[in-house]
Amino acid sequence: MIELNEISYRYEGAQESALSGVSLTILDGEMLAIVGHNGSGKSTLAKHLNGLLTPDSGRVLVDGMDTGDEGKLLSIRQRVGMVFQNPDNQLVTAIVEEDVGFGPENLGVPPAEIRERVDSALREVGMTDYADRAAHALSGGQKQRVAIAGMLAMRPEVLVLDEATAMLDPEGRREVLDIVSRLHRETGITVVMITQHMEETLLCDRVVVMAGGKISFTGTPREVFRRSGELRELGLDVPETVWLRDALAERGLALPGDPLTMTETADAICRSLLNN
Amino acid sequence: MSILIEQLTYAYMAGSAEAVTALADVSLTIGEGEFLGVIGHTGSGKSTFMQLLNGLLLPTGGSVVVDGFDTRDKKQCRSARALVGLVFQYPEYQLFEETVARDVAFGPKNLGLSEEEARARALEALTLVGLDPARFAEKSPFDLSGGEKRRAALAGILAMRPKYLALDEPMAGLDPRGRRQVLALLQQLRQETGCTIIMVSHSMDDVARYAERIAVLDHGRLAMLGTPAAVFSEMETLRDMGLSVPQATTLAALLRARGLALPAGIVRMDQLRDALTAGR
Repeated sequence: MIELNEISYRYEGAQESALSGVSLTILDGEMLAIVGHNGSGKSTLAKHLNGLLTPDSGRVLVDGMDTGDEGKLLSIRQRVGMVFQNPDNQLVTAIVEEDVGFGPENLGVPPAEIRERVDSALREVGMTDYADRAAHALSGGQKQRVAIAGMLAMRPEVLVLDEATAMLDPEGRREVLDIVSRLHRETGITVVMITQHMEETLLCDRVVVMAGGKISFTGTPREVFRRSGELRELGLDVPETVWLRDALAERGLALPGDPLTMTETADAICRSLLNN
Repeated sequence: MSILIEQLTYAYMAGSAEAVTALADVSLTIGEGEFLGVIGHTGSGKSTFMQLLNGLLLPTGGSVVVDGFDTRDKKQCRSARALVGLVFQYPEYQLFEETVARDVAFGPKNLGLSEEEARARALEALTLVGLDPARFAEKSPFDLSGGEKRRAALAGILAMRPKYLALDEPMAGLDPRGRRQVLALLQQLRQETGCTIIMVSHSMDDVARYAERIAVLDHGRLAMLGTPAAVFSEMETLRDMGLSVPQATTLAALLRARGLALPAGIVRMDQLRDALTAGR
């Protein structure tokens, strides 16, 4: 469990706080999305989850350990793994399996166990066949999968994806999202996705909407997209299906049940037309 | 005037044993003032195609002729290059000057304009992309936000006043607000300057919304060329090429499968809304 208690943070030399008084509890095993436009504070918040940044005031507790306590940092970072935006900046060694083994090696894991962890992490992200390949020759999506494997090899409890799909093409994005959803479902790992793609939030249990360094509101995807007007005011998009739902309602064709996915929307349209 | 592309072929490392054909036998004409969308799977030859348009790459077969200037001829290539502005993916990585104004003036200066003329063009281009010169001209490019950097980089190309604007995924990596700003800017540019836009995009929804025609590349060949309605009606063919269709097209297909009669050629959600509420 990660608890953020009234945290505030201001970058050196900045006029305004990047975060002001944010409180949030991330439960074990949940899949959480954090959305907001540039400058909303979402990435700053993400960097607080494993002590990359520590708050100016307030506290962040990871399984009860304070990220401000330097003696606990190694333990915190082993529990909370982060994957960042740029696939080209995250791989540290030339060969895929070496990269995945880099973290556990630094943790002092015995060589035999490293081997086992690397093999299982590569299997989990579907990259076993690429173990001995050159990392630079991979596609963007594959690089991000290797970066995720590198985190999995540390056996973390929480995986934080800080806009990890932003620079990928649709195919790469799908690869990464499929793997993250499956990991979450099969291993129960906690996932925190910082994203600008509102469609991605549909995979999550809960969505946190940020603006101006504060949490605007939170809810299930269905609850959040019911407030499409507010999202638009915050400079955020709504999924195309939500746009259609609103546009139809405006013309007097209300869809029952706040549909979100394509199938739900198609079913709701048919039901609504039958009733009219 | 137009860009005439005839049997265009390009091979990397042509003539060597490792030659890789990236583009093969592509023929089409890009008309003046047109908005052409270019789609294709990763490795389909899109980026190669874009670089051939302004002579950054030269054909290994066939030709590209821009308003009568053949890029295969050294002198004519220079003229062609001045007509076609090419915006790469992540153009902001190429910002390098100390101030935004100097960065944007770099292109026109390279075209041989005087310092003052180049600066005037830079300020004009900054205004055009919505970066108020009074606020941004003397800033360091590195102090801009992601969306602002992208627009500054775009201004650098616009300052050369290209007649044809070729953009390789201009919205990649931008947040929704940044995407909307760039797309709105392209629309506005077309209206105000009448320039031609050739845009590579991974977003079928964006292409459906803005392009008049779509060129589909597959393994280096021009697989389809037509209106969004015509191209996206070929769902199966596109899927085989690893491409999807706009969400509105997918939803329309789901509705038809549920027995609803809908007109053909739906590629945008507003079209679907209109079809569903016709007569209301």
